[in-house]
Amino acid sequence: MKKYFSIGLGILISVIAVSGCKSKTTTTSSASTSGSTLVMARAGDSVGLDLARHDDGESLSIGVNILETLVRFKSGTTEIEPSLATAWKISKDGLTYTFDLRKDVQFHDGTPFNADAVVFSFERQMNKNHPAYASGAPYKYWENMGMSSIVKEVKKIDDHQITITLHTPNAPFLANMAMQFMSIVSPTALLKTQKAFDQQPVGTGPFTLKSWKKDDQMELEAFSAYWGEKPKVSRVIIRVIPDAQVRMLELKRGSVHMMTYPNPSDIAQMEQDSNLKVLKSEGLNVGYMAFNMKKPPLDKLEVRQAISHAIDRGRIIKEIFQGMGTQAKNPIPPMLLGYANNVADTQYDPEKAKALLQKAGLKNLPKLQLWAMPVARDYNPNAKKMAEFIQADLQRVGIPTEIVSYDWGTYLDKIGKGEHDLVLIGWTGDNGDPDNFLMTLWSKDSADQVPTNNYAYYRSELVTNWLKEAQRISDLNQRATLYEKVQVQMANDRPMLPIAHSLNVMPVRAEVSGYDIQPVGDRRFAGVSLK
Amino acid sequence: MRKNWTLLVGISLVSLLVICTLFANWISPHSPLEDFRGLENLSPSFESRDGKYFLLGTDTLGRDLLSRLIYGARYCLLMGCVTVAIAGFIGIPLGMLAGSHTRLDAVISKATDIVMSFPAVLIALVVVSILGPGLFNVIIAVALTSIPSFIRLTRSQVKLEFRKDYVQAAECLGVGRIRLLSLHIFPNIVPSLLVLSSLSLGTAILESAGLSFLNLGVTPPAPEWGSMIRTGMETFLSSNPWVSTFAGLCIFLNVLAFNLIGDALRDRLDPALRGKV
Amino acid sequence: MLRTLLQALVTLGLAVVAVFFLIHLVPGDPAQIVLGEKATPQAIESIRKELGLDRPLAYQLGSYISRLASGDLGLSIRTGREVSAEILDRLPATLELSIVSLILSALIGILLGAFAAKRPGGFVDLLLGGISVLGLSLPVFFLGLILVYIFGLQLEWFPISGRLSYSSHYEPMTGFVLLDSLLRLDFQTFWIGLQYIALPAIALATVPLSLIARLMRSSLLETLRADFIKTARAKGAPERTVFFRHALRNALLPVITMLGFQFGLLLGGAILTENVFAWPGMGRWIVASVEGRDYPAIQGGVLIFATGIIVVMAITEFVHQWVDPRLRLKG
Repeated sequence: MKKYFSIGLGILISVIAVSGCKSKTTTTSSASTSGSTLVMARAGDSVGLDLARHDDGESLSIGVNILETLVRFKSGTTEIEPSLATAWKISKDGLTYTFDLRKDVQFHDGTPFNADAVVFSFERQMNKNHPAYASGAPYKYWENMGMSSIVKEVKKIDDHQITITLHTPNAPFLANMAMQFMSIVSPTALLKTQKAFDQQPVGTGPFTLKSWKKDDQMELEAFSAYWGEKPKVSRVIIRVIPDAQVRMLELKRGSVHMMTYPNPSDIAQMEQDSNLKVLKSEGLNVGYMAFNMKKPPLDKLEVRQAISHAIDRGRIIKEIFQGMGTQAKNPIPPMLLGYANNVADTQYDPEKAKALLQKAGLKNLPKLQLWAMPVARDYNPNAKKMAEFIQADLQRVGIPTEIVSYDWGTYLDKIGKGEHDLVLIGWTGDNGDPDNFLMTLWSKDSADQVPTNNYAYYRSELVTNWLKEAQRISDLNQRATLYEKVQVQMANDRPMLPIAHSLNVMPVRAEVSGYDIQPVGDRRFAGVSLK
Repeated sequence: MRKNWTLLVGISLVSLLVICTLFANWISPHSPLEDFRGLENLSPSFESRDGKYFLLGTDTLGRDLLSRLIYGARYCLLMGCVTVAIAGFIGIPLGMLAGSHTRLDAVISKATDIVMSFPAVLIALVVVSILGPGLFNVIIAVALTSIPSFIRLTRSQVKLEFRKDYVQAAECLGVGRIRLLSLHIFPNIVPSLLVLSSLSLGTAILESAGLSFLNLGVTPPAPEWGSMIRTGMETFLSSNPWVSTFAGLCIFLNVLAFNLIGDALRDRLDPALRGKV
Repeated sequence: MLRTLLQALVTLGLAVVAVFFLIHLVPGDPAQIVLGEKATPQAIESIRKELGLDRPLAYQLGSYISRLASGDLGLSIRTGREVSAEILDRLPATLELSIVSLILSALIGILLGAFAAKRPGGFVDLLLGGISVLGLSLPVFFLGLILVYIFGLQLEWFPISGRLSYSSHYEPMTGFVLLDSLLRLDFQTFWIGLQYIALPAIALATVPLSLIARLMRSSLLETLRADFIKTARAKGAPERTVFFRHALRNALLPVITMLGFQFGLLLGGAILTENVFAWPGMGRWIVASVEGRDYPAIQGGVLIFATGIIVVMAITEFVHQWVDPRLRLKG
C-alpha cells in the first residue's frame, strides 16, 4: 500500500513541477516591483573583499561600496575629492602630506573611525612585524607600486589628523591615496577575524556586506549610519552569471537591473530595446599584446615588428569590439596627460612582415605560445576569439602559434612569472595618472619583480629614467613632455603592440538612474535609484 | 524487423563518418582553417557569396562550417577508435587475469571499483589537468575512464566460460592457462566485447566533447566538434545558433550510430548481455 | 550489513590513497607547481619543507591521512581559504541538484519502463525507445543549452540561471534550498526553488532516466515470464495484483541496485550541467580549480565526490538487502 502511495505522490509532484511552467510571471516581474533592491549580474565572483590583498577587478570594483579611502575620485572623473579626509596640505618640498580626518564617522561594527584606524591600515601593509601583517600578505598593490620605497612614515597627530612623510617627492601620490588598496579598515574587526576579514570586510562605506554565497550571489545592505548621502536603494544583489548571453536574457526579462560585459555583438540589439539603456563612457584603458623579450626569437626587434605588421587590428576592432572600441597606437589612452599624438601607428602589412622576418634571417620559427585571457575585461571583451584572429593572421606570414589559457588567477600568476611568449592583456587605469600606466607596466623596476606587470620584460634605461623624473616633478607641461618621449621610444622598441581602447559599456534597465560609469572601473551603487 | 532497421541506420551513419574521415580533402568545399574576411557569421544558405558557397554558413572568424564539420569527423573517429583500442588493450588482459585467477581477482576488482567510484568526467578532468589540454592527452584521459568497463565485462564473461564443458575438457587435457585464455576462451567472448566497444565508442565521443566544453579539450583552431559547440555557444542564444547546433547534431548522430550498432549487435549476438553492458 | 559497511570503508580508504598518489606521483614537484617554473631553488626548498615533501612518502601519506581525519583538506592556492570551507559553500547546491535529478529520473524511468513492459511495442514503449536513444546520445551540456533556448528563452516557462530568486528571503540552514523552505513551511520559496532547479535537473536526469527506464523494462519483461507469475495467474489472481504486487516489486530489485551507480554518473554530469546553468555548485568550482592547477582544491574535491559515491553505493547495498530477504542472510 505504501508503495502505491509513494508512486502516487511522485506523480503528483511531477505534475506540479510540469504545471509550474505556466506561472512564468512569479519570478520575472519581481525585480521591477521591489523598488529598493538593485540587482546586478556580473561575469565572475570576487576573489575576496580585503582590498589590500587583491588586484582583480571583480573584488575592487564591488569593494569600493564597503570600504572607503581618504580621498576619492569625483564621480565619473579622475579628479580627487575629499572622502574620509576632509582636507589635506602638502608641504613645500612635496615630502609631507597632512590629512584632516572626517569626524563622527563609524565603521560598520560601530567602532569609531579615527587616526589610529588610518595608521593601522597603512602599517599593516608596510611593516612586516605588524600584528595584522600576516592577515593579508602579500599585499599585491602595495608591493607592485613600490609603496615601501615611497612612504617613509605615517604618524598620528591627534585623533583626527595624520601626516604621511615620503622618501622622495612623488607626483601621483595623492591619486594613489584614492585607490582601493589604501582603503581604511576597522582595526577591531580585522584583528578579530584576521584572514577571514577577506570574507567579512568591515569598513565605513555606504553598504555593508550582508551575505555572500560563493559563485552565486552577494548581498549588500545600506549602512544606516553612513556619514555621507544615504544610498537610495536598501539592498544590492550582485549575481554571478558566467555567460554573457544569459546575463543579457536576464536583463531583458527584468530579473536583473544591470549587467557587466555584454557581448559586443548583442549591444545593437539591446540599444533598440525600449526597456533598456546602454550606458557608455570613454574607457581609461588599453588592451595590448606584450612580447616576452626574454624568450627568443622575440628578443629580436625585427620579429616583434613583423608580428605587429602581420596582425590586422582593424578587423579585430570591427569583429570583436563591434564599434565599441578604437584602435590603439600608444600604451596609454588618449584622455591622459602627455598622450603622444605624433606617434605613427603600425600599419597592417603582411608582405612587410614577411620581409622583416627574412631580414632577421628566421625561416623556421618555433611554435610561439599565444596566451589568451579567459575572462572579458573592459579592454578586451573576448581574448580567446582575438587570439584566434591573431593566430590566423600570424599563420599567414608563417609564424605558427599555439593558444594557451588558464583561469584568470592562474593566468595572471603565470604570465607574472613570464611563462608566455605572446600575451594578450591590458590595463584599466587606477588613478588617472599616466604614471600608473607607464611606470607600473613598462619600467625596468617592474620587470625585476616577481610576479611582474611588465609582461614584455622591457628593460629600457632611457624610458625608466624619464618615468622616474616625471614622478618627481609636479609641473604638468614638463611631465607631459617626458611621457611623450616615453611613448615614442616604446613605439621604436616595440615591447608591446597596443590593440584597443574600449568604451566602458553597462546595459541597464530603463528604470535605473543615477549610475555613473567610473573611469577607474568602480561600480558605485550609492547614488543609484529605481524609478 | 525493427532491429534490422536500426542496425542499418547505425551502419550507414558510421559509413558516412568514415567517408568524411578518409576523403575530407576532396569532399569539403573549403579548407577548415581558411578565414574568409567579410563573410563572418553567415547563416546556412544555398546562395553564393563572392562566387563561393557556404551551405551551412560560417563561424565568427568566417570559416566554412560545412568544411569544419567534415574535417571534424577525423577527430571524432580518431579519438573514439584510439580511445577504445587503448582501453581494450589494457582492459581485456586485466579482465582475463581477474576472471581466471582468484587472488589477482580481488586486487583487480577492488581497483576497478575504486576507479569506478569517481565520475568519469572527473577522472578525465584531473588527468587533463595534470597532462595539460591537447588531442593526445584527451585520448589518454578518456581511455583511462573506459578501462574499468572492459575489465568488468571480460572478467564476468571469462568466469562464465570457465563453467563451460569445453574449458574443463581443455583443462583436463592439460592446456596451459595462457593458451586456454587466448586461444579457447577469447574467441568466445569476442562478440560481447564488440558490443562493449561499440557502446564505448559512443561514450568516448561524448566524454571528449564534454572536456572540450570545459575548455580542456583539443586546442583551437582544430575543427573538433566539441570545441565547435563551445565556441558557437557565445552566439547560440542571441544571434547565431547554427555553429553549436550543427556541431551538436554531428556528435549526436555519431554517438547514436554507435549506440544503435551496439544495441543491435547485443540483441543479435548475445541477448543475455542486457543489463551487463 | 557489517561487511558492506566495512567494504565501503576499505574502498574509501583506498580511494584516499589513490588520490594522494595521483597528486604526488605526477611528473613534477608539487612545490614547483605551487610556485611555478620560475621559482628560485631556495623558495622550492622552503616550500618543500613547509609541505613536508622532504620526508619519506610513507610519512607524508600518514600525515595526510591524519590531517584528513581531523577534517583538514589544506589551503586553496587560488583564494588562500581552507579547502573544506570552499567545499562547504558549494556542496549543498550540487547535492540538491543531483538528488532532485535522481528522484526525477527514478520516478519517470520506473514508470516509463513499467508501462512500456506492460505493452511491448505500444506507444509508451516507442516513447521510451525515443527518449533513451536521445538521452544516451546527446551531450548533456548541449541538451542543457537546448532546454535554455526552448523553455527559458522562447517559451519563458523557467528561469535560466542561478539557484533561487534574490527576492526570496532565503537564509541557508542546511544549504539545501528545497529542504530548508519545506522545513520552514515556506512554500513560496519552495515553489520558486523548484522552478529554478527544473531545467538543470531535467538536463541532468536524461541519461540516468534512459538507463533506468531501459533496465526497468527488460527486468519487468523477464519477471513477467517467470514461473511464479504464471503460478499467480493460474491461481486466478487479478491481473492488476499480479502486475503491481508480484511482478513490479521483483522487477524493481535490479533497478534499485542500479540507482547507486547512477549517482556517480549524476555527479559527473553535474560538473557539465552546472557550467551551463550558472549553478553555484562543486562542478563549477572544481573545473575552475583544475584550470587553476589548485592541487589542494582538486584533491579535496575529488575526495568529496568519491566519498559521496561510495556512501551512496553502500546505502544502495543496504536498501537492496533490506528489500531482498534472500540477501539478508548472506550479509
